[in-house]
Amino acid sequence: MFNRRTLLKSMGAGGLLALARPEWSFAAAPGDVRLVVMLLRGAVDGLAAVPPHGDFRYEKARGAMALPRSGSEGGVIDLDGFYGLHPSLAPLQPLWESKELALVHATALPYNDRSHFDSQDVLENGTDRPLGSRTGWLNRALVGKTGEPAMAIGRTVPLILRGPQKVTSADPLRVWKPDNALLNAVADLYEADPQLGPALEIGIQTQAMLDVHRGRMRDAKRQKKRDFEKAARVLGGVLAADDGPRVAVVDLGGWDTHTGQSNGLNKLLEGLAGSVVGMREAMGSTWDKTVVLAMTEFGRTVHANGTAGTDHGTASFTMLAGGAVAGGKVYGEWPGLRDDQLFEGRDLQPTTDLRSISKGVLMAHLGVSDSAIEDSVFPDSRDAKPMLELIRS
Amino acid sequence: MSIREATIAVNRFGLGARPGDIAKISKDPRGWLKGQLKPDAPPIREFAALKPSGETIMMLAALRKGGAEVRDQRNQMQRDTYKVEMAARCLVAVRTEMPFRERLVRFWSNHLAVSTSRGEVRSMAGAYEREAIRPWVCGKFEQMLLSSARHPAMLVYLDNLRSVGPNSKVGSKRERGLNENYARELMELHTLGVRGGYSQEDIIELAKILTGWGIERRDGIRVGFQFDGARHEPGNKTVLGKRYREGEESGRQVIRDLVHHDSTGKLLATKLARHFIADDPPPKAVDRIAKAFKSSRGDLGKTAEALVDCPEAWEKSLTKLKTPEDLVSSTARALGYDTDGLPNLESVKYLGQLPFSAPSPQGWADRAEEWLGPEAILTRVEWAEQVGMESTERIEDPVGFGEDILGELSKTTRRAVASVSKSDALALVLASPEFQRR
Repeated sequence: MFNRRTLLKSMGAGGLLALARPEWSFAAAPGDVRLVVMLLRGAVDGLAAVPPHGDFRYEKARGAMALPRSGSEGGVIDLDGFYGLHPSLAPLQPLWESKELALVHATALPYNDRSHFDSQDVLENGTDRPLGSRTGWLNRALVGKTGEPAMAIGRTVPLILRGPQKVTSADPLRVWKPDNALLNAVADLYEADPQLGPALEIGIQTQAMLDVHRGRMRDAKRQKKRDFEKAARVLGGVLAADDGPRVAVVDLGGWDTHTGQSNGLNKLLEGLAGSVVGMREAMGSTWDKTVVLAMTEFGRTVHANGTAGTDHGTASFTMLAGGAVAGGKVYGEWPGLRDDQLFEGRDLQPTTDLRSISKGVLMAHLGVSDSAIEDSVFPDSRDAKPMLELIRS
Repeated sequence: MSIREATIAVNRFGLGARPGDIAKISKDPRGWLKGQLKPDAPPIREFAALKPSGETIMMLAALRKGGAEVRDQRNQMQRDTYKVEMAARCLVAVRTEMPFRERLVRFWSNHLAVSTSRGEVRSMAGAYEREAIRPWVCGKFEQMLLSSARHPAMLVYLDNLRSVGPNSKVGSKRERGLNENYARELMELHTLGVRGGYSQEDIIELAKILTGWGIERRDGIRVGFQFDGARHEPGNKTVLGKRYREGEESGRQVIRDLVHHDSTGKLLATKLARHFIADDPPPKAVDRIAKAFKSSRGDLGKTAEALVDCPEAWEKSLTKLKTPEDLVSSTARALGYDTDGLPNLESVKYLGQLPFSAPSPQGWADRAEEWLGPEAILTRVEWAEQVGMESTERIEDPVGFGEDILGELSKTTRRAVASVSKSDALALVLASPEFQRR
């Protein structure tokens, strides 16, 4: 390990750049790929995001929430004659055309009790039950890999990324001016502290790595966009850098649309599309070896509730974007919208286990071994076959 | 006399020591805590000028219609109300002589959380805590829960205001219907807990019972709780196997039954023990607290006394990582800030815990790993540095100061604090592992 005092003393104007950290070199990284997992917290209405407008029951099932027909003002953007995109996801259409966008419909976790909190826990812990593990599947998938620690965007590290492997968190829009002498002293105080010690140490290393991106941060901050879209742009640049992290997690919440859902949902979907497009622009050619995986804890009711919104449901959609994605296709079996085809008579019936998607991405894109997947990353998930076909070969 | 117990009482159960506090209560720390648990408390001076939620709602309603200018006025008013409310709340945290009771207020308002993620809640969140939570913090949970269910902030936040019985007069005429958001969280988060034994069918039936619970309109203006029979779903309903008749009373009954369900006592006891004892609460303590809740028929004062009586609460020091809000109030109390200076709402926001903005109805998390990211810790150190710089004139001797508010300093901290400038020394006390915990 490096000596922390030396590290901190070398920090300061320009000093961060000069750091030599041979043990974190990327020569050792297995493959040179990038993975961004976006957690869409609050349960996205998959039938709004990716409407099955070719299903003749679609308009009746959705009632007033059905989108205008494709071709009309504010209508569905047709993808393949059967599925479409919500008009607020229009910026993603070019990615569909260039086969950098794949969708999977009717995806769900092995847990179906419609609690946000339990379901997000399962989404992140990688087992088949709430509180099944105190560590996250993405962290466990990275065990044994070298390279810059995976990065959560924000102050804290969400469950999906917690675990034995060293990880970090950062707010890509916060410019940091450290007082090195004081930091040194605090680092000494935290030396023996199992919680504060590692957090501070990794935080300092991350700031050193981010130092070359300060200009990018200032540029992003000047743009007229939502904060998380700005953050996504900075993140794109950081991921593209040689010494940047290979894996990142982005939280995007607010999808719990119980009341008058169309307004809020339009903005959220615009934000989602804007973040993906922004990351793509900032990444340049690194986008070619990237997968952005966006997933949510469950879907929403097929029919509107009594307040022009939707209540908690079961299956939703999952999105994959990036040059490494085998895109231009909607994967998964369509379960249908007839009343007796719905889950418990109210929700979209799941046909794809979300873990099949995550497993496929980890194995085909990050090169995680089958045994690691089955033993520790997604234990007891043999029935969820990895969808290797989601990644371009 | 126990300095160690006094430190736990003041720093973990309370909101943090002011200079001299630990010595002052060291004769009887447990008695000091229990003395704060009387059912009634004197009125709080800092709240005297604040408006009741009904008045705020009327003022907002007057700004309902109109163009962009009126909308801006309305937004401005909501922001201003929030700021005034939160400033008063910060002051109470700094000045209170009953910090254990104040911590309980914050605990319960987080348990029954409302969030400004719903714009209208912004101007009502402070009033919600004052009106629906605070009066019952050492009283009956049933009354607290009922007040929360009937408060405009909760009615708006979890959509119950809009839920309409599909076969009610309003529902059948205007094609409106149920919204199950509140009913679900009432069972999942506020009472039984997620595996507390209810089904999707129970949620729908509970939602039906709670239709018609809304806000009274006077001259077209909403002012306070009102039951509206025209929106109430007709007929009997069944929740958890028990049948409830049509009408407003059924809502009170079902809330009473939920409060006294065994799962509720367990959930509340677990959360209390997690907040006051350790992230992984000792089962014996949970049992003791749950028993007290049950035998007192949900008396929160008696329940809090049982918490103080748990031997597990006094066995280990510094078991809990402070949340940003804890960090700011304890800093302000230690350094004697009042209406002046850094420890204020801006600080809490900077550190990541703006009051009433929890990311979900679950409220703020209460385990260390939820607050521990590298970025979060860097931000805390940076904040400590700023406060240290701004506070040098308040403190003569940083080592003595640290020992006064923390009972003792570790050897490492003591040595470090003694060897740097006063500004850095104060920053080190605030950033130290012992001050970051309670």
